Amino acid sequence: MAQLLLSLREAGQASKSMGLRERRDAVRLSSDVAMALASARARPSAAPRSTAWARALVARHAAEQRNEALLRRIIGGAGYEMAAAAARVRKEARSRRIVRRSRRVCSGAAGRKRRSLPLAGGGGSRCSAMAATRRMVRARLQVLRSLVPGGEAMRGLSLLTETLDYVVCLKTQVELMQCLCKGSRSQLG
Amino acid sequence: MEGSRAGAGDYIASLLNSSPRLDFGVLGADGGGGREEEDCLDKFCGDPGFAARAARLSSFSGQRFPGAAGLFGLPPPVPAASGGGGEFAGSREASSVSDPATVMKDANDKKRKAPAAAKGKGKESSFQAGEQKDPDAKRCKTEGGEGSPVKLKSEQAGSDSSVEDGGQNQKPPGKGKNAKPVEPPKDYVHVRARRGQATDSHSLAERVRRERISQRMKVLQDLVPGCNKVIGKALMLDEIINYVQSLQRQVEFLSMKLATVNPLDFSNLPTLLQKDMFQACGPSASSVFSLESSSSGFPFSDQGDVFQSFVPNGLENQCGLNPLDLALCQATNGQYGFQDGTAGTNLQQRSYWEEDLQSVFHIDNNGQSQENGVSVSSQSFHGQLQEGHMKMEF
Repeated sequence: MAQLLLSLREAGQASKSMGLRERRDAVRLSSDVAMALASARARPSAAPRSTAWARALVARHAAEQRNEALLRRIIGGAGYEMAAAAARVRKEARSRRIVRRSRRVCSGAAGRKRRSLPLAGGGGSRCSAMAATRRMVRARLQVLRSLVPGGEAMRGLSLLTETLDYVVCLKTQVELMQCLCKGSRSQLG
Repeated sequence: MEGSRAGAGDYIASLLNSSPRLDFGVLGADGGGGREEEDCLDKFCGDPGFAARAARLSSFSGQRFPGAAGLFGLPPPVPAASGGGGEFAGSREASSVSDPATVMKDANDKKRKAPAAAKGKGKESSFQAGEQKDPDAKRCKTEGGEGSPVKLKSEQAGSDSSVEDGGQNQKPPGKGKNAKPVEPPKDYVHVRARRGQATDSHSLAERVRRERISQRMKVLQDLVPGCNKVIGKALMLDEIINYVQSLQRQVEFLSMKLATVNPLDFSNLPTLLQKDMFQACGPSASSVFSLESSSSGFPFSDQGDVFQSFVPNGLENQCGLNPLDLALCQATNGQYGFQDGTAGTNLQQRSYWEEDLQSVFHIDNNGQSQENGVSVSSQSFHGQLQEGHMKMEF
């Protein structure tokens, strides 16, 4: 996995003429793709395909046009095509999901009003406290969904699983990059 | 729906008789089995609608048994049934969580992956079994009448063995096909009906789900530093969100730093990691660096393909570095050698990406005999990075 990251970094810095910001983006892109590939490789038997966040990450990078050349070089033409297809699928799926969710929210709001009225009459303070906590949890889950790539699709349990994986990969990414930084700094100075 | 009732009835019948299971299965859900089921169910459960509800809720074959078990536990109208129920209740103690409902709800790979990540063997087996169960259920639905008697047989076999062995037998069965009569799916684990809690399908499934969520939260708690003091979903989620955000910010920052600090040092990158890993080759690494930088000369102009210019430099580096440090140079030469071995720079990179790590080592072996250095380096790196559950991820 370390080697993946390294080679990706090398590939990412192929176009030296880029400005600082672009270079950073290229670095980030390469490391992200490396993480995705690593996670896809790490689970050959457990899951038939890579995790959702990995796919979504690669798709997100593929969606931007300026990354196209770099990505193509890194992943290879076939892989890039898959990533582009995944990006397109994600866009459609996302719009569909938004529509579905809005519909559900409308119906749910109507139903919840009906349901909460008898509850409030019976339960009293306890139910309201529980409802408050549930609302807080729900809000935080929304935030998490926006954070974790590819998280809009999932709910509940799968979201937590994805978060777990994503946290692990982020951690390793950070450690790797720190090592690289240290190494390169010691080399220069 | 009828299938579920048939299964329950057959299960009961099998408990009672324990020999003509096959006959029941052959007779099938249509004829005598159907009549028997209804009698049995009416006698025992008094709630034939329950099976229907259970079936509608989730994978019917799996769900029915905890429900039936709960029903068994409470009313024992027939002594034989009570005997069967007692045996069933006794065996239930041996098993752990049931996940028939979750099979329908979350029947994706993530279920299997998460247990592989952190949980104990029991949960993993139950998850795996749950995965297998779903295709079975789906297949049953599609196959229809012909499949149902076979499926009933398998259900009985599965239920019997699960009754006997509980959660232990779930791993070995593996991929059970629907056609085989004595196929052991064993995909549902039995939930102990706790006292004072409802035993209907809804609450059972919810409880299973809640337990799973709490498992994941526990793992996350271990993963995220500083989460031990906080208890409760909302606060923990807060912490997790903060942590994820900070990690992302760190990645951004580090990438920017790397981009500035390291304009274009291809040569030092492979040696960097190995330097960190070996940690004893610090001075030698610096000497290696100096040599590399001098010999390569950084001819990377803005135009032109960097890799093509890199390759001849790699060749030069090989000759220059070999006498210096065996371990380090072997590793670096392994990388260079790989890139030299295949023709075409772009093709090299792509083929590199498309292959597995093992094949990478393979090519290193073929090129030069440095697989020891490369594999050792990667292994030690993995050893550094690994925590208890992170190991599963990689």
